[in-house]
Amino acid sequence: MRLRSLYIDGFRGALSPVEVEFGDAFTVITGRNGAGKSTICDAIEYVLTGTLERFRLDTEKGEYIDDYLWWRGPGSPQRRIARLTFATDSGEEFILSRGPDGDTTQRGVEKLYDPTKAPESPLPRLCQTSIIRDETITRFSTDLSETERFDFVNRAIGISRFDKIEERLTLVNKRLRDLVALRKTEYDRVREEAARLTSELSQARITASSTANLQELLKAVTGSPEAPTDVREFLRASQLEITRNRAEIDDIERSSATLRQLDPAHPSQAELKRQLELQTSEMSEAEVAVKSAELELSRLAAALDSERLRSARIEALAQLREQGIRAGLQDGHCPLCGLHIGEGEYKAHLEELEREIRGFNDSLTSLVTQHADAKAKHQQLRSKFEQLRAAYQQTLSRSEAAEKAYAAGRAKIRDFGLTSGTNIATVIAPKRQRIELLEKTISSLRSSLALARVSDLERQLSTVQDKLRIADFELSRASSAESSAREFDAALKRVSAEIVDERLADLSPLLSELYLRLRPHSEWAEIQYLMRGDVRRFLSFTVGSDINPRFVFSSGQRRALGLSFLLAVHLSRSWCYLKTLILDDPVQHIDDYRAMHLVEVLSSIRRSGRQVICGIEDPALADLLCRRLKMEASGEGVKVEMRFSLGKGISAECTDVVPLVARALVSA
Amino acid sequence: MPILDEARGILERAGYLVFSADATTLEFEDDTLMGFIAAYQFGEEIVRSWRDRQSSFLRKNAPALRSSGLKSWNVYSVFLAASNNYTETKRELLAIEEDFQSTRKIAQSNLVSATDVSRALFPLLSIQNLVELRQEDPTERLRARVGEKIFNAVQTMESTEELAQIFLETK
Repeated sequence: MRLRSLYIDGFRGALSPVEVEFGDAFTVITGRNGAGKSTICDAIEYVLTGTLERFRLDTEKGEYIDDYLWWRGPGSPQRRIARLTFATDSGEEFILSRGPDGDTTQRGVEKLYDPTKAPESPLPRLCQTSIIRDETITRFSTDLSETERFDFVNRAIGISRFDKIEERLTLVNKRLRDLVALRKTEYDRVREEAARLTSELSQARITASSTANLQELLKAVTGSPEAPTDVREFLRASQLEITRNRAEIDDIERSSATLRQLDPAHPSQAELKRQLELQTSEMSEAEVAVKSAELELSRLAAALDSERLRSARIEALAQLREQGIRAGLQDGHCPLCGLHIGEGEYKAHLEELEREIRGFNDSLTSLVTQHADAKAKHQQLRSKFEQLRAAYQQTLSRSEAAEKAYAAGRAKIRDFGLTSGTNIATVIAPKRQRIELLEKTISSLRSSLALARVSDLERQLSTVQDKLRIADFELSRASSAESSAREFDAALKRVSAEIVDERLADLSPLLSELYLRLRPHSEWAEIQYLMRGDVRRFLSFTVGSDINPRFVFSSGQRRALGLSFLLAVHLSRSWCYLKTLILDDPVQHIDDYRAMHLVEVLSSIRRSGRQVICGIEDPALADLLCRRLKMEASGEGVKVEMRFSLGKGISAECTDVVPLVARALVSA
Repeated sequence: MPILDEARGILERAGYLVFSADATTLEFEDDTLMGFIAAYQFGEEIVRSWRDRQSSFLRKNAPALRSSGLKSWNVYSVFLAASNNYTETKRELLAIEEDFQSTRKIAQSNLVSATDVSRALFPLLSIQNLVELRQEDPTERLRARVGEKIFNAVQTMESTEELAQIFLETK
């Protein structure tokens, strides 16, 4: 099958209709940058897939390639359509078209490939392997990872037939994984329950083993050997009674001990009484001493008052004496009394006055001292008396309080039924016995209940162990199913890998031939492919002694390698009926020598019966291609010159390539 | 291995008209390409004489080439040798190939088998190792590995739940 023609109107850079009639053998499209060479490839891809893969994921400012598929310059095209005409090997033609306005016709698209052999999404795969663009070559030569390269081959040559099965297996695997987790959780839960019941049963068995004669105990407690109807209430009431009895015993023992302490016959109380008597005696003695001191103080005060009455006279005498001394004897006369007196007598009188004054002062000083001492002594005795009285009061209070407490204690004891002289042990002992009885009854009753509990727990444990067996079985079943599904998945991956290995082995001679023809490197003429990985698959190339060309080849050499790979994939598709190879500017970054190799490879592909459509910017190279690509009749080769005019968009001028002279050397 | 005999057979099978010019030279032509093949024992001889052989061919066929129009641009001078004496020769042969003056040159040595000759003549030939990849149904291989029942279930059942049940029931 061949591409017969392309018609575009309003598509990309085509404001006016552009029609290209492809040569059955080859079409060389030439033109400067922007002349529309790539638009031809874009239109072919768009008609087949409805999008342009090279822009599919690109977005900028919220715009996508869909916004730029159709003419956006000034003016408006008559229509917006891209149409391809195909010709089958028997000459039958059919048309596929696509436009944004509902002009899409895809009838006959299934003639392009064998649906029984084709991979998933056959039309995008057809385009990926038929249209080799400059950027595709670059991607395959440098950027594509080993896994991406593997996936490309795997899908492009139509091997992967397990997509649906893989999808189902993924879902089933997840479902079974979830189920295993669920069953494991259930199994763990039942197992924990069994462990808990086993522990409870063990405890209940220990409790049950201590069961005493319950009936006798019950009779002693309640008067009846029958088990109480409300066991919980009985246990509660018994517990309350035990608590109450214990409290009463404590109370009695505490009161009894207090009474013993407060008994008047107790040494502590006798000591208190003796202390009271002693304090009374001491207080009386102190009172007498205080009174005696008061009398002495009164006496001294009276004496002091009497002396103070004499002090005015003594003062007057002292003044007279002073005047007498100052005046001296006046003509034998006393200046004080006028008596005629001798000098000696006068002097004796003055000395006598002095003696009297001095005696008075000495007596007064002595009295003042005695009075102060007596006052101090009185205060001291008074203070001591007060202290003794306070201590006495204190002891008296203690004594009275003890008597009162003793009386209260005795009253309380009487309340417990004790009388003076009764031994409290006779009151406490029955209470203790009652407590013991109640405790034994409770314990026995609980043991009795534990027996029933043991039986119940044994029954529960048996049920849970059955559940555990079932849970274990279900868990094993789910794990086994999950394992089977995983094994299925692994087998699927192994089979896929085996088939890819085999197909690549089939492809290997072709890849080697194309590599050799393109001769990217003069030293390393051979290439080997290398596949590895069971789950993620890698496809890489080596040259020479296991050398990765990616790291030693120049960009031009890598492009030549990438191109040989893409051409090998293109030529080996068995599912695709379209025998057209489309290249968009494949010679960028390639030197003249390798460009010549590429031309020769395209010539060889042409000689192999393929239709070749190639866009080339260099006019000389385009002419070379037109000369070298084999054709047998006029019209089988076409040269298309693309142009872009401002305001008019792109245009195409198609010229039939004239066949070369069939025989030159031979006719000569 | 007689190189010229091998080359003749290869070119004739590829649809070329081939005829002997002399004991060591073949000439060939088809609708698109033409040229000559000169055979040597050693690559060093190619280095020494390729220019003379090319000139001789062009001189001899000058009238025909002049009248062949654009086809005269498609002339191949092919120099093939059975071996090399020196490793340096390989580089010199490469230089000859990179010389695009007058004719396109193919200069190869160490040609010891028919495959080597065929490889040397690749630029003149169609793709030699075209392969239609075998289309074995991989599902059969997988079915044989995993068992009929489980395979059929996975292939046909849409419901994940039902499929999981099949795995649970299958031993």
